[in-house]
Amino acid sequence: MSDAFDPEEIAALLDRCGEGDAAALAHVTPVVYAELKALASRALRGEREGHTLQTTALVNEACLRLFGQRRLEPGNRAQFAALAAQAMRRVLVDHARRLAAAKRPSSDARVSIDEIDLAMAEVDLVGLDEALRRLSAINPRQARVVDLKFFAGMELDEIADVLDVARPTVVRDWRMARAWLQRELGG
Amino acid sequence: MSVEEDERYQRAQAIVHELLELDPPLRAARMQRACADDDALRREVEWLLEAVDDDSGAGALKPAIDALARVLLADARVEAVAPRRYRLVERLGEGGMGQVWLAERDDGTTRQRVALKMLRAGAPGERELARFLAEGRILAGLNHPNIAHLVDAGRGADGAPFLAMEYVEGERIDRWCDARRAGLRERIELFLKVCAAVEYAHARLVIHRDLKPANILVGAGGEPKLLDFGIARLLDDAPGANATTVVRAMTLAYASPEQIEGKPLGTATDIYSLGIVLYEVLAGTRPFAHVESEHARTSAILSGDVEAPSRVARRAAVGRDARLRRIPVDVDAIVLKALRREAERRYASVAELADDLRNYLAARPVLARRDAFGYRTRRFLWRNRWPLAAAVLVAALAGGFTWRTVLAERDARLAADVAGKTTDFLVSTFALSDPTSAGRHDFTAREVLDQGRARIETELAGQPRARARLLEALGNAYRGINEGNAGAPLLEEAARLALTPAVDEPLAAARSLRAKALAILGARGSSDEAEQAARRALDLVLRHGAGDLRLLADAYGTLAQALDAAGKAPQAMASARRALELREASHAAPPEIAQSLLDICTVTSDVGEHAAAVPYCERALALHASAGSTHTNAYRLALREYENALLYAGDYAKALATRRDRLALTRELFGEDSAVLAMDRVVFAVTLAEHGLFDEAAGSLAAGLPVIERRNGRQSTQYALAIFDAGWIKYLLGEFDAAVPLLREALRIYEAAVGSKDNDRLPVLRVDLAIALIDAGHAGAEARALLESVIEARSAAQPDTSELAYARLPLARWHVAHREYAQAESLLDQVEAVGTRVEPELHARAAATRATILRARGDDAGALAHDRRAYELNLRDVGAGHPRTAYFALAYARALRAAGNAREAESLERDARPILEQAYPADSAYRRVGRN
Repeated sequence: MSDAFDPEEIAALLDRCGEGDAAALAHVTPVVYAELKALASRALRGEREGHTLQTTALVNEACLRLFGQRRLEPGNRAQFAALAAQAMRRVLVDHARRLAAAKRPSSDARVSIDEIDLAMAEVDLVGLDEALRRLSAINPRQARVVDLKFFAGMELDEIADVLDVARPTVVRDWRMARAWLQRELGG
Repeated sequence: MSVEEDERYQRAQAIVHELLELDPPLRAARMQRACADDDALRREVEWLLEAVDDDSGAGALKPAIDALARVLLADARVEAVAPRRYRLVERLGEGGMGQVWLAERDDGTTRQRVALKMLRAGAPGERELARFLAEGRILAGLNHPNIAHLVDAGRGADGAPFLAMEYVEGERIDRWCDARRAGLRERIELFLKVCAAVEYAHARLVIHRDLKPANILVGAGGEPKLLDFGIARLLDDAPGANATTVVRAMTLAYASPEQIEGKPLGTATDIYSLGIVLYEVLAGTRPFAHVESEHARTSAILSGDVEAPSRVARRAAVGRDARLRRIPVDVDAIVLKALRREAERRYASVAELADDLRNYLAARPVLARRDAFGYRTRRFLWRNRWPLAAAVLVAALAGGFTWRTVLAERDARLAADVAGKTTDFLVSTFALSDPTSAGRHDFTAREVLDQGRARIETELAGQPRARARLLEALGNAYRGINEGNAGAPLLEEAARLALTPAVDEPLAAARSLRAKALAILGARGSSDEAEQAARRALDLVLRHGAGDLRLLADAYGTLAQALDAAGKAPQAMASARRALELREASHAAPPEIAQSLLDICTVTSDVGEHAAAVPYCERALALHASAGSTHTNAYRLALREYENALLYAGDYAKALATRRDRLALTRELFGEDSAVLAMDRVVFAVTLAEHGLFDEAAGSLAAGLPVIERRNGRQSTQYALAIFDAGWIKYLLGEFDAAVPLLREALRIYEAAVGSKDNDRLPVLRVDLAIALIDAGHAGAEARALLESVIEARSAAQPDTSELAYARLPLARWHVAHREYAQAESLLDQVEAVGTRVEPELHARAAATRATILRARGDDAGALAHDRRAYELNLRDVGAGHPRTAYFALAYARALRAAGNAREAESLERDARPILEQAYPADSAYRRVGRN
């Protein structure tokens, strides 16, 4: 799939995303989204039972596939991660939505029987997504921190780089946002 | 959740950030100030400060999201991939290839339970997918009660290919036998049913490649069903699948030595695997089952040292049926013969294996015992050293265009002749090389066929019977790749050999001669030669056919086609009717009766009774429809005849629509990248151009031409015809100067390819080049020579043929260009005498030419009348909206104006000019007439 995209072009688009170019963002997001979706499917089809799907690994692989061995500028790398996080979130939420819409008992049965312990996955992804969307209205930076942490699996240091804020600020944002989410989802 | 709460959080978190930037002692005072008397805000800030102190990481959320991602995506993938019309019911399993689901296929009226295999592969490209689908169609053609039918193959919503197989409920063959405590005989009888199914598939050039008990299920009725026939092959080729996956997926325990070594596979690999299955069904365990490591097992298989089943059975676990603990020596020998390391030392075919098992059951001596001396094998190898070498040939046949064409066509004749005979003689008797390793283009097939032909001549000199059969198979293979002219001499030689006293098979000779006639006709070769061959075939059948009505009908049918091509319509009609009677009397299959009706349709049309012809074609199509054979090449060819009849009958709209349908069918039958589709596209482009649909014509041409160039090569007749059509479209556009070089090049290639032999197409190419030359203003020696050569050759063969009119008209125009009006008029008289056997267009052009002559002579009134006639003929033929009508309308208008009738002229021009302007590009010659 990635064959259709020129790494240089994507890198350039990422640069422009970094500069806040909405058109570039609109252009590159579907690419990343499609790539992640394909990767996720492929990874799952190849995986043995019981393995967890690492969203982080997926994001990294998507990056590798889209850019090959080409070294990304640190800025681009961060920009890509941010984008990928959002795309990953969309991939997951879209699927969750579709599942919820289907509301077929058999699909629930499948999940509980041959996949994983449901207790572990009691998080309501659609709820989380909605909460995050509200958070981004209240405090966009915190929402992005959560995205990067959850869906791109980034460390707080990296997140600080991406968002270009001091590390302590990111730590605080993260912890506050986490508390806020727990309150929202818990209620 | 309220706006108020959100605002509070927003403020609180800002305060927290600010506080934490301060030195701890200053924080309390700052907080006091910030929150003032807002208790809720204060609580929020305190809560957040606490949260910030909590360094417990992401908590349960992150792993939960990862886990959930897995669940959701796993499920969603399946949702996404479930192809249209399928509903997933239950997951049956998952393997290296992907997932298998029990699904319901809903085709609107019926629901069918299928095993849906969703392959683990990336999204395939168009070409890969087309091939995948083409192979799928071949497998779908396997119709045997003991083979699970391939229902469908396609691409799911996520782009990955899928297969839908008949869903079989049953038990593995070995377990079924054990559960029923079946005895030895019962087991062998069940196994024989398995053999029959494999034999059936082998005769259709399909190898299973993954036979194992898990793929042989026995249903409630005790009937075994083979699953996944040919699927391994399909998967090998599946777009995006990589070789290592396939190798890993192969079940090592049942793999043949050549499979492990990655060598080309033939039917022998299935024979080996059948041997293992039989071994397991009888002895309760597989050979090498005791070998622990994969590596050791590989070496054991490759060593070929298999322990006799009887010895294993004796050691078998206590509790196993006592009757099975003693396996007879004969059965041992049979199993071991199937399991020989060298493919050529195994049974030569599944039929032979089955026969030997039957020998055992009937207490006859088994072949396998004799094999111990090696005598038979050595004799066999010596006798058949050529055919074994010919495995390469079969590989190319099977792997390339031919194989797919032949099998996909299911055209009774072709399938019987090519697949049947080639298979009988070469494939099932000798190791069939693996199609996957062979080239995949006609080109390669042609090359290998040529090579095979050379070898037959040198290496089978002393064996006329074998030579005859191979020559026949080869000749038909040439036919299969549309190289009938190359196949004809081989078929002739096959017939000659069949008639020699040493062989003495007159009916085989008749078959070869008939095939020769069809080969020539298919390649538009000499109709005289075709007629001769057909007559000789008929004669042989009459003398030796012993009243076999169908053979006789076939012979008459072929003769009818040859006679029609030779322009002998009345005799053709008699033959076609005779064939029809015979087929009806012998209750022939609907497609065969349809063929006779089509022949009658064609002949009727060729004698000028176009309207009467159409119903015959329609009856033929209806027969196909009632027999459910509308998805065949025979139907496609029937549509072609129907279109021609419609065109001649003047029903252009219906002809065009039918042609569109046919194009879709061609695509389905042969695939997107096939030369057949490409050729149909090019021909369709000309039809479109003739109807003034130049834009669509250009598109259709552009889609076809490169494929033909690539698949057939620049020296092929097909390519010559394709660029000829491209040139002709230029001509129709009025771009004469651009048309000439293309037509000239086409003629050059074509002449070189057919060696200037008499041929149905050559005159057309020559005449049309001459026409383009004359219209381009080059009415010189080249054009004249072209036309006269055609007239000469044609009149020699058939003095009163209507074909002559096509050359005489342009020659008349040539004379007009040279002011030789008398010669021109005499030619025009001859053209007009042909009457309705040629299209109205020809008469319209003849009238226009007369107008030119009369005007040159000063007879303006006569010229006006002929211009009017030309216009009206076109009007009646293609209607007022057609560019051709518009062109002649303007010519007529000009004559009217010259005669002083400006009003009528203006009214004509008003309607015609926009039509011309819209249809033709600005520099088209046809636009010029509009401007004057």
